[in-house]
Amino acid sequence: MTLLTNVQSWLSGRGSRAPADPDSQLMWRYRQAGDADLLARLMHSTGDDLYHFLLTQTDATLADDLYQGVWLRVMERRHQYEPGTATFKTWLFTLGRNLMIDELRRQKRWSATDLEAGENDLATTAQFHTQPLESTVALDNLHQHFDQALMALPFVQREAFVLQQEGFSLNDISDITGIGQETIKSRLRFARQTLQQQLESHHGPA
Amino acid sequence: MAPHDDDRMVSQDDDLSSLYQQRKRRHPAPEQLNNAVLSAAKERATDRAGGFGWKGAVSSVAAAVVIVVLGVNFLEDPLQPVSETFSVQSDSSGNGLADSEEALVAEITASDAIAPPAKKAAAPAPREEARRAESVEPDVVEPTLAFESEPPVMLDDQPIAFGSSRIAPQADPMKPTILKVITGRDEEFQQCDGSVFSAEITGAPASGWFELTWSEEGKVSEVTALGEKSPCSRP
Repeated sequence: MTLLTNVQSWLSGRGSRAPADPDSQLMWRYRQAGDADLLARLMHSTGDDLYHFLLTQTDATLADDLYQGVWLRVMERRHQYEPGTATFKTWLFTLGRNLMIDELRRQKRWSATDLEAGENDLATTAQFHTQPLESTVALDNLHQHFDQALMALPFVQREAFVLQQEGFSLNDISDITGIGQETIKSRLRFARQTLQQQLESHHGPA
Repeated sequence: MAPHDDDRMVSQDDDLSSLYQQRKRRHPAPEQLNNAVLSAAKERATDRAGGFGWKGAVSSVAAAVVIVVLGVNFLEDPLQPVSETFSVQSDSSGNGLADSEEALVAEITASDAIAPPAKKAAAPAPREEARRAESVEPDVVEPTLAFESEPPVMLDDQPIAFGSSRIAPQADPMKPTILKVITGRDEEFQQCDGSVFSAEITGAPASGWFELTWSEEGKVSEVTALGEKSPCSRP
């Protein structure tokens, strides 16, 4: 009787942990089956988001390497995915961010000051970025100005902004980055202000 | 200032989101990267599915070979580990088989072998000699080598201890052939290895060594006095 009760509770607990969003459900199935087709569907639904995040935070060459590395980690660590603790996309971006920072540290392109830089000092904005600004050419369209302004943001502000644009909540961003929500809010505020100022200086208020 | 304080800010946020989404569409993940990752995933899946066959077979065959080799070695010479223990003990300590575990091993070996009661030797046999000897006549030479490492002749100078674990040289420890009278103790006699043999022996001398002859019924049929000199040192 006790065994039956345990089995029932295990089954019910297992059911309650079933992920809600489609990507997490896919990942749950991939975790159990290891089917490459399921991985392909996951890549199709979230791959562009991840790649754009990595590209925005680093450069094209490193983003390519990181992108493959992240998916390899997904394959290797699929059994570590717990749908009850985070959505698949949150888990994926956490893997990606950790891998990216490890690589930036290895390449000595990352320092502790990067985490603290730009929190309150908009004047130093242009000094903290992982990709150099392109030379000033005739940027006659909004997209180019937006790209330039985004890449000129400090690493941490850019990261917070991109993650928010990817649909993550403050809580998710806090989980991914390991930073408190108030700090995330501050970074987002400065990032938006800077971007809007940069765009208004070229194209006027919206 | 909150990000959504007024309509203008909401509008600006919408603009930023729109610009962001357009930028993302301009930078999709390269298809070759996706293909490379999926190829790796399919390779892993193939290795996992089909790989168990040959890997499992190789592992099983290797394990079987190891078991067979170990089994053949054991069947060829089951006493080898015991005799190695003997030799190491003799070489390293020189104190004989004082340890109870070693004594047990020695007792088992001695009881299995038919050997003369004692044999005098000048020094413990080197390990290589022990190996050579056991390869020639393992059943007979092995216990002899053990005795050589602990010459019984020295026992005359040692106090007699009850429950001593020294090796009994007799083939049957319940029927010793050489005994010595222990002064002041009736029905207790010293054996060549120093241990005490308790029995009521009719016709035993008042002192000194004597030799027993056992009948087939397991009784003492003859007692021969040997004098005060220990016969245990005789070859």
